[in-house]
Amino acid sequence: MATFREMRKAMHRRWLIAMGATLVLAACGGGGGGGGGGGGGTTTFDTAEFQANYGLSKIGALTAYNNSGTGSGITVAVVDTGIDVNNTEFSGAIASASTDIVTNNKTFLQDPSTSGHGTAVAGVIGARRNSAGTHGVAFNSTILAIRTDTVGSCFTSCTFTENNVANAINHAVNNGARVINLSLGGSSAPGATLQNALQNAVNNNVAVVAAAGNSGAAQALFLARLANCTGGGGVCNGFNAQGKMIAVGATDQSNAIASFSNRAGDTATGFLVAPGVSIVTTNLLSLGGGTRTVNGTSFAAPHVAGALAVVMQRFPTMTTAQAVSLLFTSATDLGANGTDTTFGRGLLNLAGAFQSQGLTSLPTGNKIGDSSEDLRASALTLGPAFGNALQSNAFLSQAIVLDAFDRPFGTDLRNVVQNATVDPGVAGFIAAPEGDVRRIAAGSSGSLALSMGPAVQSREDLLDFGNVAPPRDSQTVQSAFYQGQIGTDVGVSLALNASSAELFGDVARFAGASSPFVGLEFVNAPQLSLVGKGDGGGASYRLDGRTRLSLGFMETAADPFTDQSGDSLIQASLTHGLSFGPVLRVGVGFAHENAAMFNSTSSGAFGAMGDSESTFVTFGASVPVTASLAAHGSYTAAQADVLYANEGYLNNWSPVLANAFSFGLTQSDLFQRGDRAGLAVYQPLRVYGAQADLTIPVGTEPVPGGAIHYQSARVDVTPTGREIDLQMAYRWHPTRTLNAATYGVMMVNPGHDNGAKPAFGAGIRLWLDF
Amino acid sequence: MARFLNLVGTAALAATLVACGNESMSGETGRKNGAAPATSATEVPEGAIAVGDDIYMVPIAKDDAGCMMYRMFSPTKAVVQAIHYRTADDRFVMDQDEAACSE
Repeated sequence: MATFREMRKAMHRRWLIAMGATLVLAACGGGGGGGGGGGGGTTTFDTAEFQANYGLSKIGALTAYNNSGTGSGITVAVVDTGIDVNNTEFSGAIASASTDIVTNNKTFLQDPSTSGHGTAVAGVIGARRNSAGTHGVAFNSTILAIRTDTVGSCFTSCTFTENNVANAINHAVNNGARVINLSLGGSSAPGATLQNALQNAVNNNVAVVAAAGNSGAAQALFLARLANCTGGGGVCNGFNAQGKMIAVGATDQSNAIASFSNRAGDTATGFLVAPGVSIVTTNLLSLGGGTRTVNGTSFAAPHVAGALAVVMQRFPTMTTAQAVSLLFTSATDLGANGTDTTFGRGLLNLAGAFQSQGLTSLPTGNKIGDSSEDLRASALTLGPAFGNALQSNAFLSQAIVLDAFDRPFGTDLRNVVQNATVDPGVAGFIAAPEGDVRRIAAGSSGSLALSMGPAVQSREDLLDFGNVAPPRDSQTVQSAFYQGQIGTDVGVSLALNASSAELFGDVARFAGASSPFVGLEFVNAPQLSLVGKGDGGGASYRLDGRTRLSLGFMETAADPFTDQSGDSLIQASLTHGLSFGPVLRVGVGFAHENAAMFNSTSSGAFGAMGDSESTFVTFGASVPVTASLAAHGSYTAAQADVLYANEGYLNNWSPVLANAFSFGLTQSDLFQRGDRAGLAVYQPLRVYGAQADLTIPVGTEPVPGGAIHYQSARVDVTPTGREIDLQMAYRWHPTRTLNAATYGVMMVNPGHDNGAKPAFGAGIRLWLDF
Repeated sequence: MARFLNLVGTAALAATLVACGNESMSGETGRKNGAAPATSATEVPEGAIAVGDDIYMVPIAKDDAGCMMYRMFSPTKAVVQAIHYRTADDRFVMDQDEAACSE
C-alpha cells in the first residue's frame, strides 16, 4: 500500500553520562632554547659609577643601556656657565663648536670656580662612563658647551641676558645640536629676540629642555613656561613649541615633588619631573674634582635632556616631536591620575620609553608612515595538516614591528603563526548533538533525520545582537538529512545544513555506519574536514552485484555577513567487492575552499589567503578475515593549489602535497552479541610538500620616514614530524535501550611535531534510546 | 680680563652678604610641600638677600638636614636654577656640605 507505515518515532535523546579525559602533554615549540647571553662579554651597567647618582636608576636608565641607548652621536647643547674643559669626565665629549658665546672666544669656555653650574649640568647629561665618579644619562653623547653668563657676573652669581641666551640657542641650532638644555630661567616672558631664537630652534627640530624653577611656585618660570605653547596669545605671545619642548620640575628620592620645585601649573601638558634633589654629578677640578651633590631643577632638566639624547640615538626613526612625545607618553604617572598641575605628565621613565608604545603594526608599505597592518589583526592560521610548520623557521624571528612612534622593534612572527591545536577528539566525542535528532520513516524505503534545536536566528537578528532576544522555547529544524532508495539499484540522499560527514561519511568509515572509531572518516576522507555544514545531495548506483558508484555534491552556506560564497565539495567513489571477499574502494574528492587552503587562513599583513582547489584520491580496502573480524586499510593522496596570489607576506604557494593513511581491525560480537570493537593505526592528513615566498620587514632606514627593509625567502611550510595515532574503540549495548561507546587514543608526535610529547585522549559515552 | 678676577669677585660677594645677612630668614620657612605664596613674578621677594646688581638669594626653606636653601632671583635677568646654601663666611655655594646649617 502506498500509505504510510506506522510512524516510528525514535527519539535519540542522549542522556549523556559522558566522561572524557584529555591528557595533552604536548610541549609545543620543542627545543628552541639558547638565546640570550652572548658569549662572555656582557657589559654590566649597574656599576658603582651608575649607582653614585640615584637619578639614573630612578629614571630607568639601565634598561636603556642594556638596549644600547647611550646617546652616542647625539649633540646636546648646554647653555650655561661653561664646562670644566680638562675634566676627564668630558674626555672626547666636548663638541669642537663649544664656545663662550658672549666673548666669542673659546678660551673662556672654562666654567669658573665660583660656579661649576655648567659642569654639574653637563655631568648629568654626558659625563663619561669611566669607572670614576659618576656618569651622565647619555654618557656617550656629545656636549656642545656654550658659555653664556654675562662677563663678570659669576664673581657673585652667574646671570644671563636675553640676547646672549638667544645667541647661544642660535649657535646650538647652527652647530648640530639635537637638544638644548636650559638650566636657567627668568621671571618675565622673553622678549622678541629670545622668543625668535626659541622658535628657530623648534622650527629646526631641535628639542628644548628648560628647568621649571626653584621658587616652589604653582607655575614654571620662563622659558620653561612656554613648553606647551601652541602659538596662542597670553604668555605664549604667538610662540609655538610644536611639541618639541619640555619643562622640568624636580622630585626627590621618594618621587615626591621637591619642596623648592615649581609645579607644572598651566604648562602641565608639556611638563615632566625628574630627580633634582641630592644629585651627584661632576665637580670642577679646581674645587677638588670628583663629584659634588647638588639640588635644583637645574639638575632635573639635564636628566630629561640626556634621556632625549638616548632615545634619539637609539630610535633614529623618530622625529624630534615624537621623541618628546615618547617621554611624555612613557612617563610614570605621579600625583593625581593623568596629567596634573603638580607633576605634569609624570616622572621621566626611560625604561618605559624603551618599551613599545601604543598599537604595534606590521609595515606593508615602502616607507615608515606608509601602509601597515595592526599586529593583532595579522595572523597566519595553519590547518591541522600543516602541523607545526614554520615554528622552527628562524627567518620569521627576524621581523620587526613598528610602534605608535614609528620605532622598529624586533618581533618573532612565529608567534603570529597559529598552528592547529592537538585534538584527541574527546570534546567532539562526548558532545551531544545540537538538540534532538528525530528519525522518521519517509516513504517506503527512506528515512528522514531531523536535527532539532532552538529556532535559527535570521540574518537580521544576527546583525542586531542585544536588541533581539533569541527565542528560547521554540524549536525548529536545524538540519535535515534524507536517505532513500529508488528501486533496488539507486540510493539517494539529500541534506540541508548537514555536515559533510553525515552526507559522505559512511563510505569513509571502516565498517560503515556502525564503525566504532571516533573521527576516522576524516582520516580516510580528509576532504570532509574542509567543508562545514551545508546543503547537498548524492546518488549511488549499483552497477552490478558487487560494484556501486556514488556521486555527491555539497556547498556550505554563504557568510551571512559578507555574502561570500561558501566552500564546496564534489565527491565520487567506486566500491567493488571481489568474489573472494575483499571490498575495494576508490574515492575522488574535489574541494573548493573560499579564502582558505587545507583549512589554513591568513589575514592582516599576511594578506587574505586566496581561494584554493584541492583534489583527494583515496584507495581503500576491507578484507574479511573471519565472519566477525575484518582488516581495513586506506591511503589518501591530496594536492591543493592556491588559485591566486595575494599581497601579503606569504604568497606564491607551490602545489601543496599531502597524504593520510590508516590500517585497522574491526571485530563484531566480541564480548556480546551486537558489540563492535576496533583497533586502528593511522596518520591524519599531513602536508609533506609545500613552499611559499615569505617576505617580512626586517629593518628600517634609520631616519624619520625612512625606507622599510624587507627580506624574502622561499620557505618550507611543512611540519617537522609525522603524527601517528593508535585508537582502540568499543561500542556495545549494556541493556536493550542503553547504548555505550568508549575509545582511547594515543597520539605520537601530535600535531606532526617531532618534538612534542605523546598526547592521550579517552572518553566514554552512554545514551538511551526510547 | 674680567675672567681672571674671580677670586677678587668672591671676596666682594662675601662683603655684600655680611651687610645683608640678617634679612635672610624672614617669612618662608616650613613651606615644604606647598607651592609658594603668590607674588608678582618680577617683584623682589621678601627676605631676599642682594648678592649683586639686581641679583638676590631668596631663602626657600630648610632641607632635611636643617640647612636653609636659597634660590637665585633676578627681576631682570635669567639665572641658574640651582639651590644654593650659605656658608659660614657668607658665601653662597651649591654644595650643602659647605653650608652653615646651624643658622
